[in-house]
Order: sequence, then structure tokens, then C-alpha cells
Amino acid sequence: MATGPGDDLARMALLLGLRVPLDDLEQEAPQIRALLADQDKLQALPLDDREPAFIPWLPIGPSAGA
Amino acid sequence: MSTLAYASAAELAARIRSRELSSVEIVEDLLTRLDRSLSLNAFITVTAEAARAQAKDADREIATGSYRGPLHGIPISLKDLIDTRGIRTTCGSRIRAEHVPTEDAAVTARLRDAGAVLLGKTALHEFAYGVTTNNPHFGATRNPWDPERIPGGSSGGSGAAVAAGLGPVSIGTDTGGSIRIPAALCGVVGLKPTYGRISRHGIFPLAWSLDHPGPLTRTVEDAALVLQAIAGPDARDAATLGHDLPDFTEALDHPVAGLRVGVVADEYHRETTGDVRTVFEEALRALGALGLHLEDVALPHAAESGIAQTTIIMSEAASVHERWLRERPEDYGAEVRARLRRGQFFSATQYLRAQKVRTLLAQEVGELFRRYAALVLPATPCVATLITQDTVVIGDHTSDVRSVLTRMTRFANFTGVPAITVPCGFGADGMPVGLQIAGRPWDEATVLALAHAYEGATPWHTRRPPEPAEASSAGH
Repeated sequence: MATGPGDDLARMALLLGLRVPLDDLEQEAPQIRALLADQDKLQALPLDDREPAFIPWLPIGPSAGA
Repeated sequence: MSTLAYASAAELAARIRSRELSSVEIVEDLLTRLDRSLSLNAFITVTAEAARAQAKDADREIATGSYRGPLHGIPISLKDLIDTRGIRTTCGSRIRAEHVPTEDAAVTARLRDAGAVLLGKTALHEFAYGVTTNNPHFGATRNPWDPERIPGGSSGGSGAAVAAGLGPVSIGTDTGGSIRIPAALCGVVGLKPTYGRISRHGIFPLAWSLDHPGPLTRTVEDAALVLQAIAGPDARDAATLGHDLPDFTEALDHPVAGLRVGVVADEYHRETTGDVRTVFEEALRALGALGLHLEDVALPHAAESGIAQTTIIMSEAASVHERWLRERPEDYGAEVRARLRRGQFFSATQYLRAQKVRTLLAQEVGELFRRYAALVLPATPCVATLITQDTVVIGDHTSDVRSVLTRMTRFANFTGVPAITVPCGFGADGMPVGLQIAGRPWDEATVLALAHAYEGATPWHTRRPPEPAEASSAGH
């Protein structure tokens, strides 16, 4: 059924409710696939017990350390 | 060249306060210079008449004994995504080209209260979403050291303006390096403070959880003066609440000898061009001569945190632009539209995983900061690229300009720690190189003290670019 490089992304866009011209999707397909493939590299990190940060404050202040 | 063009804000302030020099004289001098520097395309809007009026008001107040402080009567500029009441704020975009805010951003209001004089609004990458300032709507901004090269971005107009002597101070924003990259590539000082140190209220967002406002200046002292004026709690930006405001100018002369400083030397952050590596190693020798204890360190999970940060920027930016992207996509430049569209394909789970990576990295960087007072690394892996250049070759890797230029800076946005770049020499083709110093969260004082000590021991901040070619330019 799939005939073009952007077809899978076109289905994904439809599911996400995005209106993106097919030509644009085909042009963007390699970059979008690369970005999504990069996500796999985060799977190996020890994240199970961690909460999302949202605001990047660290558990340390100016007075600590050397 | 006028004698005022390259005076620091601190020097000008001393002369204004003693009434040896008026704000009006400085503003007239800079407006003349600005008119001769249009070929740089550093400004989107020049507020000449308003600047003259503000300068007159400042002189009048000072004459009656009402001196407000070291920014009173000092000309400044603002990146054109910082709201200015009654003055258009374009975000470097067609979409906001005619937008005139009815209220000042928090930063603008604080600078007004300090008596600063607004010269104009500086150019930026469209919606701050890029690092070249090759703007499809307002034209490319040019690096004063070589007009065929980019000034960096996204605060490229601010970097070019400060480097070219078009005012001693400009305010930029930094989401992945957008203050430090143009500062480094233009040979000036750029400070990204701790996340929450300066209110983001009234600044058009790129990515809410990564955006940091901050100053670009020609000296570290000026960066401290400006930080003092614009930092502090603001109820409209919850991240700013609950933290004391130190005396940053007093901190400049804190002793630095004996401090332990980590030299970021992991494989990811060692990937620089040879000229930048040579200049950086010379800077390390100068830091060593200041009595610092330098030790090589690795920033953990550097590559993975880059992926996570990209996920966060792209997701948040896609959310910021969701409506316009749906209703008027043709009004974006092709590059930014494509990047925004890519961001729409991340899932909520992927975004949240990226924020969990941030927690992990913040904890690991926090451990580093228990041992070290600061970390140092180059501000960029290479010098300013050509305006026409899309990729950079480092070693046997060819990468796009954006990913190369943000390589050294983005960890500080991801973890929220303060970081500054100071000029540290010249690399290929005589282009400037920046030394980056990052510190513990809320400890801008140590970052400024180290930068000030380095600056005092080296001549790089005194070097000036050639005078720009006189030419008219579109976009004014």
C-alpha cells in the first residue's frame, strides 16, 4: 500500500491531526525519521526512577563544594 | 572612529555622572555610527527619535541630582523578540512584522527604570529558531570581523551591534547558546545566567523551559552591571521567585586563585577545529597562571542529552507555534517552518522522557559541581562560518552548522547553570574565539569573577573589528 517515502508519516500526521502537505512530508521524511530513531538512544539511560525536570534547577547551591 | 564607540558602559557612566559627557552626546555619536554601519544589518528597528528624547530626559534628571545608577543615560539595544511598549517587536518574522506591544517586557521595564536609553531592536534568526541570523524576511546579519560571515545567532544582531561599537550593551536570549554563540563569534562577552535569574515575562518564547535572557557586552564588568539591573524576582515568571540577588559587581574582584575548575575534555566536547583547540589551550595556560587548579572532566551523557534537548526545543517550539503553523504556514521562512513541523511528530511520552534525561543530567552535573567551582570549554567548536555555508567539517565528520555551533553551549540550557563567554583569541582567518565558563546554579558571582580575572590577564577584549563598509541596507 505504501508508495512514497512520506506515506507512513502522512498516516502519522493524520492521526495527530496535523495538516501538512504531502510534498513537504516527503521532503522532511529523512529528517523526521532520524529524529525519531534518535529516541531509541535514550532508552538505555537509567530513567525509571526519575521524574521529568521541567525547570532545570540542580540540587546544589553556591555554598557547596570547593 | 569616534572615541565613544568602544567605551564600556562603566566608562561612559563615570563620565555621565561627573557631567563630563552627556547622554545626548553619546546617543548622537552612536546614531551617526549606526547610520554608517547599515551594511551589517544589525538592527531591525532604530528608535532614533525616542532615544534622543530619553537621553534628554536622562541628562535633565542627572543635572537635578537624580542619578539612578550606572545605566542611567547609557544606550542599549534589545533583541527584537523582547516586548517594547509602542515599538514594533517583530521576532524577526513576517507573522509579527507589524506587532506593536502595549506593555514592556520585564527586562525592558527594568532597563527603563535604570535610566537606560533604547537605541533600537536588534536582528535575530526568525523566531530565534536558529544560529545563523540569516533571516529570510529582514536579510542576513553580517559579522563585523568579516561581512561574508555569520555573526552567529539567534541573537546575531546583538552580537554584531556590540562588536561594531553600536552601543555597549544589548540584551539577547539563549535557548541552546543564542547569547554565547554570537558573543563568541563576534568577539564580545555574552552571559546566560541561571534559569530563573532574569524574568522571561514579555519575551516571545522559543522553548519555555530552556529560554534564558541575558546581556551581550564588551566587558565582563558591563555584563555584571546589566545583570544587576535586570535580574531578580518577578511574580509573572514563577522561576524567578525565592532567590536572593547578590551584588554582582562586588563579586567581580573576588579572588579566584586556588579554585578547582574542570576542563570539559570528553570526546563529545573535544570535537573542535584545530585553530579553536590551539586558542583554547592557550586560554587554559592563562587560567592556570591565575592560580586555578585545572583538571580534565567529562560531561556525562553528552550525546544523549543533545538528543533530549533537541526533543524538548522542537516539541515546545511546535507547541508555541501550533496555531500559526496550522493557519498561516506560508508566512514562515522555509527553514523554520520545516523545523517547526518536525517538532510536531514527537509524542508526549518522548517529550517527557527527554525531561527525565534532564533530571538525570542535572544530577550528574550537580555531582561535578560538588568538586569544581566552574567548568571551562570553548564556546563554539569553530569560528564564524560563511553566510553561504550549510555544513562544517571537523575531523572526518561533516555536520550542519546549527548542530556544530550549539555543541558546546546547550548543556548549560539543559541544566540551567550560568555560563559566560569571553574573547580568548583568534582562529582561522582572524575570526574571534570564545572561552566559555559555566558555574553552579545561582552562582553567577564565581562565573563573573573568573571571567573578569581572565579578561584582566589577556588583551583579547581590547581588539576591534575593521570599520564596516558604508552602505544602505534594506530592513530599516
